[in-house]
Amino acid sequence: MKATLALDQVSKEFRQGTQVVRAVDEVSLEIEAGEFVAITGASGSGKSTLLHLMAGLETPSRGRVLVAGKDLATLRDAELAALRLHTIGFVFQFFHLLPALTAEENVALPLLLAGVAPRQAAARAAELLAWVQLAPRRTARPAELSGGEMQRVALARALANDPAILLADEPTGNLDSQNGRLVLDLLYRSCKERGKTLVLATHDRAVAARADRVVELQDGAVVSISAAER
Amino acid sequence: MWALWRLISLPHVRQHRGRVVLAAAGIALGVAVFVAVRVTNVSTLRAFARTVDAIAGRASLEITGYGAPIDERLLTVVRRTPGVAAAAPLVLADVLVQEAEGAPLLVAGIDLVTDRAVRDYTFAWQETDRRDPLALLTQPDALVLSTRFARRYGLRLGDPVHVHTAQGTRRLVVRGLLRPTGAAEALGGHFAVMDIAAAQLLFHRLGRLDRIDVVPQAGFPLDALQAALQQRLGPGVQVRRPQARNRTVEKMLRSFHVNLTALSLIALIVGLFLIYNSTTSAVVQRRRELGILRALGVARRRLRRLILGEALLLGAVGSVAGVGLGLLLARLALWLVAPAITALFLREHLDRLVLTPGTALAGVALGLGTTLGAAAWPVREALRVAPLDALQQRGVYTPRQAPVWPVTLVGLGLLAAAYGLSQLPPLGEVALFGYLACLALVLGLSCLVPLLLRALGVARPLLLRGGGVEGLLALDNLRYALRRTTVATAALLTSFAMMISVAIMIQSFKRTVYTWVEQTLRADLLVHQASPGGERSGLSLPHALRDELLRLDGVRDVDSARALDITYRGDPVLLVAVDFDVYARYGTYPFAAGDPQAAMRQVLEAQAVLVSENFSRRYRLGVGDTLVLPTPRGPQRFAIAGVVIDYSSERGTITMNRRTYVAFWDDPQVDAFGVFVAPGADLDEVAQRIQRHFAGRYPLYVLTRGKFKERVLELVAQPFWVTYALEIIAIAVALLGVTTALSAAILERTRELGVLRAVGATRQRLARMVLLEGGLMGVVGGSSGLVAGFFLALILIYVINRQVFGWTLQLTVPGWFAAAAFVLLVAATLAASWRPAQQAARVPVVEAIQYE
Repeated sequence: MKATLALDQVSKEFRQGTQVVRAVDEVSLEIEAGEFVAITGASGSGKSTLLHLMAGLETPSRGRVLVAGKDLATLRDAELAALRLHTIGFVFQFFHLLPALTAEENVALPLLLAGVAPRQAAARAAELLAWVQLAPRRTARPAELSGGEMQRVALARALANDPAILLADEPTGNLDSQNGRLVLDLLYRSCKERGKTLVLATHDRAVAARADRVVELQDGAVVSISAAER
Repeated sequence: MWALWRLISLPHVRQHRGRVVLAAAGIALGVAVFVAVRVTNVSTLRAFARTVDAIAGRASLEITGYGAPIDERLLTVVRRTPGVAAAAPLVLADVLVQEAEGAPLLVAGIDLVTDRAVRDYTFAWQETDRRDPLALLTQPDALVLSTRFARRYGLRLGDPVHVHTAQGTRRLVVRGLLRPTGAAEALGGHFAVMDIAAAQLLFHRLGRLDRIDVVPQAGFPLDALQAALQQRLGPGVQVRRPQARNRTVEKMLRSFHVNLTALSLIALIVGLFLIYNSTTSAVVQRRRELGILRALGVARRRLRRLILGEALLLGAVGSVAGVGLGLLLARLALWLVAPAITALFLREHLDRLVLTPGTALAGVALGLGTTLGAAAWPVREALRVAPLDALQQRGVYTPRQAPVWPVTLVGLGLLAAAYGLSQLPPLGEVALFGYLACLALVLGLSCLVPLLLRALGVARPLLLRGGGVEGLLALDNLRYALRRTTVATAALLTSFAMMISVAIMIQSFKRTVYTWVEQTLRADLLVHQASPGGERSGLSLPHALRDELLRLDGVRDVDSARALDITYRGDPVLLVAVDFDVYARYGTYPFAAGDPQAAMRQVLEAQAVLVSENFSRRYRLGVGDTLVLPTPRGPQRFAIAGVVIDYSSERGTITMNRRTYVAFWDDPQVDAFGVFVAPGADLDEVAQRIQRHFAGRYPLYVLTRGKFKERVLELVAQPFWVTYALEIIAIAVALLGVTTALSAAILERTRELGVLRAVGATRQRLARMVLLEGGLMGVVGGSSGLVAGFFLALILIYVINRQVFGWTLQLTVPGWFAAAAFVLLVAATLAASWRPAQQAARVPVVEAIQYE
């Protein structure tokens, strides 16, 4: 299998007042298509920054991020946007649904952005909502949904354009254990049944335990890469 | 409190200079418009009062005829009246000076010996003339110009000048100059004196005077002297205080001033919307900061004082700047209004702006009041949020779906109130309830904007198809942030409605006047005296020229018109004398009441008049009633034979046969002749023949009927230019509102914008979404403004116009203008959305999605 996502000596530094803080430190990593990789570490270890670098939301201070062989640093803004639209799906800890849109419209949003006809987009959104077990809630707005439901809508949205890569930043961090399990199952199935590459940032060892590989970060640097304990 | 100011307020101001300046600019513009209008109004009246005072000098009473000169023998009677210390005769005439680019000049014929008892003059002489200046000045061609006038037009002592007078062109010589003190200050220096005997000869006033100025003996009761003089001189003259003229002018200009003031307040209402939006935006941005402060134990009351204090400071800076800006704007307004006022109301030279402390204070108070009123609500809303919620809300768009029905009900109530108010009669001469009806209508329709925006939901599929997902999101943003978008949209609605309503009123006015001129103007050519520049001048012509005109080839008939300002029941009205015997042969007036044929006959044969519809309404007089008019022969009774549609004067017009007029006013002059051309004769040839015939004696301005109608339309539209200037300012303020509203929206939706970028939206798409949002606000504000403008126009035409001017106008909607203005408004809204759109495109994605 060839690497769909690769990080080559990637570092990211932020300036905080007069100090320079290194959030990601010389990380090199190759993730193959269909692989489920968990990024773990304590709070502030650089998990989210690493995910943002993978999504092209941040540019590395040093090193290269390659998605499907393309160096993100060489891509223009529109190309990066297209990458996020078609190749990468992102699931946030706080769901980040658009409050004015219904569940179905939130899921259809990436499709509409990609130019899919409204009717087809609605049909695909309905199908995805059914897959995340939310078919009856498709006309509800975010304010009418529970945390678990919102995260499932967010997952459906991330899958809307059938991306090759799913990035999930603490997707269960804001959910109770039952809903957390349900969301994690769905993410796992996305990876294993639908063939998505899943990179999941979590501080929860039980969540990381389901991954193929676990990358542990400490102060931005990789301290270990291991196969998950099953 | 100072610590909070230093730590919280000042850094905020420093950080958001742009927005602070924008909000202050909004207040400044609103205040500036108000101040400019007040300054213009006060300056007009003060300029007139200055002229009245300068010419009156020490005189406490003036004696004039009722629209006609008085017999000079009355001077002896006046001087012999006990209590009179001095009496100075005056002959007054308007002339145009060829060597001064045709500038108007008021020439006063004075008695050089006695006049110093009344007025102060300081003469400047040539060295050679110092020996006997009096002898020099009494020469028949001697003219003494004010130094200001001479300097302005490069005239020197000894220069010959050609003056156009109502009696033809004459050559005079500048024999002296008046230093800029006393009477020489009148009319901004457009004032000259000459010997009274020469003036009587020059202006055909032999044995007659235009005025006698009276200085009473010290301590003599003025009322008693006024009564004694009136009794001795009889009812054919009026004895009054010079300042009475100021009151007359004030009445003449009142409606004009009230209209402008009302419009200026509309600009302030739009400013209020802007301040509301900028305060909302500032509060939204600082919600987290406020949450922290409250969590740290700062009392809600203290924070309220802090933010309202900031707003007040902003209001104070904006208001003071607005006063200064208002002065600049007044100069522009003066430039726009002066020709209208000069043409329509009085010949005053507005060259000095008067900013009274009252105006400045009123401007600042309005600015501060508006700021406080506009800031109070958003501050209250922000401080109502619990500290923890405030801490968590930064950058998160959390729409509170408040029901729209309460505000809709208020709106419907206001619309009902607008209807009720429009049915009420005027308060005195001011259409107060009409203006309040306009206000209620605008506010009422503004209250319906939330409903309208919410109802836009039906257009979602359409927008999705036409504008893509950006269109859909833009629409939802509008619908779900009602409070913010309503205010900005209402500001657009208000300012655009004003523009459309005034446009409809102008078009209706033009159309009505055009139809009226078409119906009443029967002559083929109109003959006026020309100015030195070849334009139409305001100088009259002797009626005796009619016989000469009649003898010219191609001329079939000639009638004439003479217009005179007289007073009726203390109000200024227009008296028009027409050659009825000629006029009746070719046409008739459009009658509103009375039998046209019988009325025309009655006016021709008896002591009867026609009155205009607005005169009839104002004084509640109709056919069969009798008017008592003050004439040089004492008060005379005139029967009203008919009420006619007439737009000559907004103060009311009385029309009579010239023969009747001459019998009482003994006036040999006319303002214009109407020439009926013989069948088959060429109009242009006849016009040129007329000009050639009088060349050298009377420079004539001859217009065909068609051209005259065009000129009338230009004149009708002229006074409204200033209203357009005000409306454009109001729209500019409203557009600033769109910018601040959208900027506030970007702040509120930082996370949402970040999410959109994270799921694949490009910067351009976010920018397009914001532009579409602005464009939609333009479409909603513009289209509801069109509707509001139409109903406002109905109130302006059928209520205010009727109550103030007494006219009936035919409603005419300038469709093309409205369509073009709508397109321009939407384009301007898009332009106003440009900066927020760029702001949205630049939202830092990671920072945005990390907000918690």
